[in-house]
Amino acid sequence: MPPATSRDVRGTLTGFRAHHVSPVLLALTVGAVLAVAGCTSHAPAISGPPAAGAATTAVAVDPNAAASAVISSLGAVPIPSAPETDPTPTATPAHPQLLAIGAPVIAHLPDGSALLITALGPDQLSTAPASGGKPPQSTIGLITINARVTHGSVTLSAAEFTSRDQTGKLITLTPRGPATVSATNGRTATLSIQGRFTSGAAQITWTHQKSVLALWDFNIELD
Amino acid sequence: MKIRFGRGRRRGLLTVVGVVAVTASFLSAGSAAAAVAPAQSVTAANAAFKAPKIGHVWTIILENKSYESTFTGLNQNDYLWKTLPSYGELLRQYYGTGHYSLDNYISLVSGQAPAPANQADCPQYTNVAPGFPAPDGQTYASTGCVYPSSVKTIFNQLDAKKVSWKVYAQDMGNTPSRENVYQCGIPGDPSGAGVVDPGGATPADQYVPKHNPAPWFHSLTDSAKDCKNVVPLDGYAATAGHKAIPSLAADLKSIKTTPAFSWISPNNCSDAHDATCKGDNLSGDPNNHQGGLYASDLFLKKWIPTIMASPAFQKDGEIQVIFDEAFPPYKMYGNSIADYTGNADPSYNVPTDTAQSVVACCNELPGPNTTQPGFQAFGQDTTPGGGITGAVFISRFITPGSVSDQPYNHYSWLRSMEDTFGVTTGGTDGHGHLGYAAADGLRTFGADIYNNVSGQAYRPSTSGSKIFSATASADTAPAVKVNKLSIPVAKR
Repeated sequence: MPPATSRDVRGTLTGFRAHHVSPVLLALTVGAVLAVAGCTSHAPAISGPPAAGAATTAVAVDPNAAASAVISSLGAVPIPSAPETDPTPTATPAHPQLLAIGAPVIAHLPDGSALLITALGPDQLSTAPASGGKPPQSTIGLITINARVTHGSVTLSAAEFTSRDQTGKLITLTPRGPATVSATNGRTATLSIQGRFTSGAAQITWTHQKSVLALWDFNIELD
Repeated sequence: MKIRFGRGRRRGLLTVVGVVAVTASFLSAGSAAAAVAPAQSVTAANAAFKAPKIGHVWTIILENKSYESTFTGLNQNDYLWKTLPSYGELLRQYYGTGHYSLDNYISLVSGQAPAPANQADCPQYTNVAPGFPAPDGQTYASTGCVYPSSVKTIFNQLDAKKVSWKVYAQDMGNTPSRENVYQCGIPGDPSGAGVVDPGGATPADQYVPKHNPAPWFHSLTDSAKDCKNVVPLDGYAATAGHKAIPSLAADLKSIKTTPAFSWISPNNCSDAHDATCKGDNLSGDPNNHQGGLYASDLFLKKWIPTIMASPAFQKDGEIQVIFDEAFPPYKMYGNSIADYTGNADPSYNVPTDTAQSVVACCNELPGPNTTQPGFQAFGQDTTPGGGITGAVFISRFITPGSVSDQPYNHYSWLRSMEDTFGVTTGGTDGHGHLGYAAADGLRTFGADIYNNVSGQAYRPSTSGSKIFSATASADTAPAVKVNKLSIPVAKR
């Protein structure tokens, strides 16, 4: 697994651009920090940067010079860049997609229709009374399916969506509102379904014409 | 069971080492181009381990996930699961200390064991009663959740050492009527009947007091000086009688303005607590309220690079991403030690997914206020412990891609921070350790964590490039298996 891309710290360190450090000052700074750290000649540069709150000569000159000296001597710690936004995956009957709840997926249906669909929630609709001061163990949760049709026309039924918890137990889902929704190219269909979810993890599976197209997983936190 | 306290323990604390020090010296030993030759297994005798001088720590605390939820891909949180461990170290056996959330925060900063009200996340914000001292630095807390001023925290200890600190709480003060931004984020006055139901996020204000460690201690909330250090993550505009409060981003610009210790509490969305957020999740899409580990990844993607780019981090910093407690699902790493079926409440007599589970580590004791720090959460027969959550640490003193299987818990964290910042006097044991952080033999972050003592910067590497095994005692050196070369970064 390759690590995410990292960017070169040089020139991007917060606050560093404003503090040009001359070679002479840098040398003095490194020397000062080394002296404070008590490094010996065979020690690898700064083996003991100043402890928390400790002042150094370098710090007195420029608070950030000590960091520059460490970087010069030991290198800059690489910084993980935030990865680019993942491209929206595409699901087909031959290639369903596993997703985190809320993540959209482009779905191509057997009849040639296409849609951008996501499952949101579960939104907590009710809370069972807590006993003994404890948080409730389960709640009625609402799952909202948003489907924007990008080609053709699509009809979604609540029966196409099933849910199981992390133990494999089936969670009964019922429509909240229309059991079937439809939309044509450029329009969005919204389907609401609800079930009782227990603290832990669960998943929503979308099965269209006997083919699984997408599965969204999520956690239920009730404390 | 009585915990043993005493002086003269310190020697044992600092003797976790061995091959790591040897390996670390190979890693950096003054040779910029040095790379570690892979080896199948390396073992060496214990030796004196001298921890590097960490000067700045940022502790980011997330919510309610088992190790499996977070670090096995179950929730597709790639940034925390995959990216960050390749830049630092994955602690595969980091434990919470109780259920539900609040007791973990209290244990972390004070060493106090769980008590009924904080186990229930403090349904009523009231003072602890009776509140008088119990053995082992504990406090009798039959009711209530705000500890008397006699109960000290790591923040009080840092004050005494004149070490700077701040608590950054995201969203705190967004709705001033919900919490007092100028008094440690308290939700109201805890005296008398206190404040009913002080938790819960709103669309405009997803701050929740139960995820801020400060409002639960009079030793902090009664101090205007200390409360000036408990601030909104994104800063706060000036108000009548109060200057503007700088943000974390502003504080990071200079070492001079960066606290030595920064505790960061994301809001109830960004800390992965809410599966569906009440408000903004930092995605930039006002219609996207996806929470859980998706939201915490968004938070980490924003803040980890910002912290790492700061002069203080590059100089001598350490970032810690921890969780308060584990929640289901957990198969390999569970939350309970048994499926006892004799509970009076039949709801507890249910099979749970605990086949290979363990509940606690590090000889955690339940404390004087409850026999079940785990609160029998999720129908389980929990004794001490909050389950395995895992954690990720990043520092120039940690080789990228390292993994440690050494068990640690929140008390270990507290003791480690006390030692890191040179708190060596006072506390429960006279050596600077509060409450159960003073437990005999409790291991601090050692050679398995600070495995690159020279601070030589290395390129990111696949998680598992170096794996440190667990050892039975703090006096035993961890063995390390090196699976991949560590490559130094190019210098200026």
